[in-house]
Amino acid sequence: MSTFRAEDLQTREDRIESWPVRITSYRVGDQFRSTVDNIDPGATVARGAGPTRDAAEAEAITTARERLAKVKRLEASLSAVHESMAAMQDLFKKGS
Amino acid sequence: MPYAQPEVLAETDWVEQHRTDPNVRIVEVDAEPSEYEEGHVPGAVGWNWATQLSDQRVRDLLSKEAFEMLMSASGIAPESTVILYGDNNNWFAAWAFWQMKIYGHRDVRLMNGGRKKWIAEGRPLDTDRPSPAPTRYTASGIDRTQRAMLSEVMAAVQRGNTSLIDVRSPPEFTGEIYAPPGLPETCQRAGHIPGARNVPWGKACNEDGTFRTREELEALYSDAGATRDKAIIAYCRIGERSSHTWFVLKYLLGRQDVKNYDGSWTEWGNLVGAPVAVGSDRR
Repeated sequence: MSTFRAEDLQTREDRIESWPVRITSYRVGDQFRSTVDNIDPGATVARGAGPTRDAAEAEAITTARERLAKVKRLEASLSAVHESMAAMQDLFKKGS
Repeated sequence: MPYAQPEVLAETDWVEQHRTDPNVRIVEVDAEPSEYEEGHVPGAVGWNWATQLSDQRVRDLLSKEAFEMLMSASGIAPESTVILYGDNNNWFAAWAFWQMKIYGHRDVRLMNGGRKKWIAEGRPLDTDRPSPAPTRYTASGIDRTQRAMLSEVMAAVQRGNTSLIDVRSPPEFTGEIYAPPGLPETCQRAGHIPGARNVPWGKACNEDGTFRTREELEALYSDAGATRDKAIIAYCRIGERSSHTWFVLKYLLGRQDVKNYDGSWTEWGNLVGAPVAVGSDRR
């Protein structure tokens, strides 16, 4: 059994797609690992690994960006509904 | 002032010192099993929350038989001291704790600070999967008083005599968003159960993931109406964050009547005709 330890742990806060996130990275052996967590509520959104800290963070951040860009907001949903209703009303007007 | 039941917490120091004790079984519980595979507390068994801690056909807890099989395969006996920890600040470990208490396991503890603190402290990790000797675990029974089902929550909303604690983030509570940023949306409507108060789970923790003092926790939850004389129901999105809050209320603060509503927002927010409130609570 070979044990190891996380070393050089670094954490910073940033924003991705407007959402506040915490980016953590550390070295285990010859690999770096990284996670991106949403600050509120504190769940891990994406992970990355690579031979350097930059590579590990880049992988995690790319995945996090894809996921955070898809967050649906109620306001946006309501706007979409209103736009659809307006479009339908236009169609009815044209048809009558 | 000490916690009501301080024995349910294990500090990382204690875990490192006792991890090879024959009666101690350590279990990492993750939503993302790759965390365990990348490195875990040496000797820890890994449980995948999504596939091993709930029924995979019906949305429900493990049956008693399935629970006994999981315990047996993990080398856990009824008299074992089980230390649970995991990712996302112990959310899923708290779920496992809750389920183990439902099935009557006597000595189960959460590692204070979870995986995050263990790693931050540079404590040992390994990638070996232990093969504990199987046991023949028999659960002592099932305690349904720890769990709130939909009908009970509905009745509580109508009566207004139960403290409903929504432990999600403020944007989820107010209805601004449908799910935590970056996680899958699993409900049709956004908002909260009418009458609920918002106490995000993380307010119970320090920056390193450990629990705040009893005095701080008492002030936090009393201010939200979760007082000693009240019945309390905690909920979130899928019941894991609210397991964490259930743990705090029941074991750290000693509330007598507190339940976890594991149906949570993925049940309520998908129900046809269920009342939904939006906006902040009125404090």
